Amino acid sequence: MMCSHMYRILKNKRSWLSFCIVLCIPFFEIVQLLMYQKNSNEVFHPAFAFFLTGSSIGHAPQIMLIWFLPIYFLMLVADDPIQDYQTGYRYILISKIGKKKYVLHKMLLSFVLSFVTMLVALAVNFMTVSIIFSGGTFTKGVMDLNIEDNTLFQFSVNHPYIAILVFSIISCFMSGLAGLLGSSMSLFFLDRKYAYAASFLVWFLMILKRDSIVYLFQPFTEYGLGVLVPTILFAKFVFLLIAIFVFVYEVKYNES
Amino acid sequence: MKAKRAIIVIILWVFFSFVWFIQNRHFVFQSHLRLSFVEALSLMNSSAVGYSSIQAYALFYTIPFIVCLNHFFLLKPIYCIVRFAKRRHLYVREFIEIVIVAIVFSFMHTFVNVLWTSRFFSFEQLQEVSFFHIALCNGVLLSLFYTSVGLIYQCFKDLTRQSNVAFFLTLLLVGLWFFMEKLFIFTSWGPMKDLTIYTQWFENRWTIIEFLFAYIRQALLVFLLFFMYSFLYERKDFIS
Repeated sequence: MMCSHMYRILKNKRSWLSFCIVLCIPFFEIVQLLMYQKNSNEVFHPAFAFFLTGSSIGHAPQIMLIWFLPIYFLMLVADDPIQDYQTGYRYILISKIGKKKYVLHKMLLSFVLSFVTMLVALAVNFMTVSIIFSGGTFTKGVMDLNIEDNTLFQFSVNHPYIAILVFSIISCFMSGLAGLLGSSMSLFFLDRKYAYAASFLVWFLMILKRDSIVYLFQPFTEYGLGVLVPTILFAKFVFLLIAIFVFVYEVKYNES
Repeated sequence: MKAKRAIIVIILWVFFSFVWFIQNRHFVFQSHLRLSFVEALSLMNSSAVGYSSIQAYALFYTIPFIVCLNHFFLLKPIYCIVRFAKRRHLYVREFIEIVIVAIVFSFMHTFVNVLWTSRFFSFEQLQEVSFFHIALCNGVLLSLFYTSVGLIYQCFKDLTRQSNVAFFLTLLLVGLWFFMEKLFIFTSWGPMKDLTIYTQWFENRWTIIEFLFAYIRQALLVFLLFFMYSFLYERKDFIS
């Protein structure tokens, strides 16, 4: 089932469009940074030119990608249960492998593909900035900052590559959760109109709240572990709770 | 359908109230900021960041508006086309539906702003700075802006024949346009630069003529999109 699902995604132009957009948005950051350093002799440090660091003015590419992550992943993979429902393929699959496996497969594949898509986008971006900004040292003054009570910031400044690696893994994990949220909503509503709206609403409330999940995507910020750890735990709790609720409802109670 | 519409309006109220409190909590709950009444009101309705900012109009509210547009009226079945003498009549009806949703959405935004602002500031003070008038003016302009967004969404929907792709493309277009205006188009006019009525009013930058021009520009944009979409609608294949 996993193979057929993957095959369907690989043959779907909509999924490819979404994948390409996720892959291309970080490149706008590079263009902005090149425009920024055009009139000076300074070259950005590769870790600070990395997409997640957000050194550009306005943070446009970051906003366009991170704020609407569930929408991209719904288009890519997570709204597949709705297509299954519309074509009737859902019932064939459920009668072949059972509802528990069906729901688990959909959720797992959404998580994995969203994780991998983000990983590919960030890896490609890192390779590109490493080539374009090779040997650069400009950090917009971040390296000179000294926030003594923030161990995470001090560690990030001392080990910038480890910092961006850790934040990249966290970002990929959050992307996986965004995909999981999308597939949970698709499995629950079985209607694109509701699934997209509900996924956006949950994700957006997590962005707008006081300790926003956006902080988890950006290294070299003033937010320390005291802010980031509760934020990631809360986000994980909310997204997993939704997924578990949908799983239990679909497997135990939903007889359709 | 009436119950569904009532639920949509309630959800909109809750959503806007949540955004209002998240964006304005510093100004209404933290007295140590020591801002004057006009300063606080101006910052709460700033065009850069906050509840009534261009960023919020373009990035926060576009998705809820499209969701609202998708749910506010019943889907039209194919046989609906034969109820009208001409396809144009059906088109006008669809346009009116977009306008209605844009008005409901914009005035819910304005209503929440007026409601919670008057909860934390005195009525007389607000009246003194003509807050209610300017909120109304902003609501009307916002209706025109969201009518344009609705028309763009419908264009994409008819072109791609998939509501989710149209949803995605509209979001991308509005978001990219917002950043284009913010980062590259500094001096010349852009459709989103008109959405700064509160700031222009509190900082006394615009005269009545400039306010009028903002309305005319937004109305012309709606008019242009109305005609563009009409060509598309004339050729729309309802059956496939």
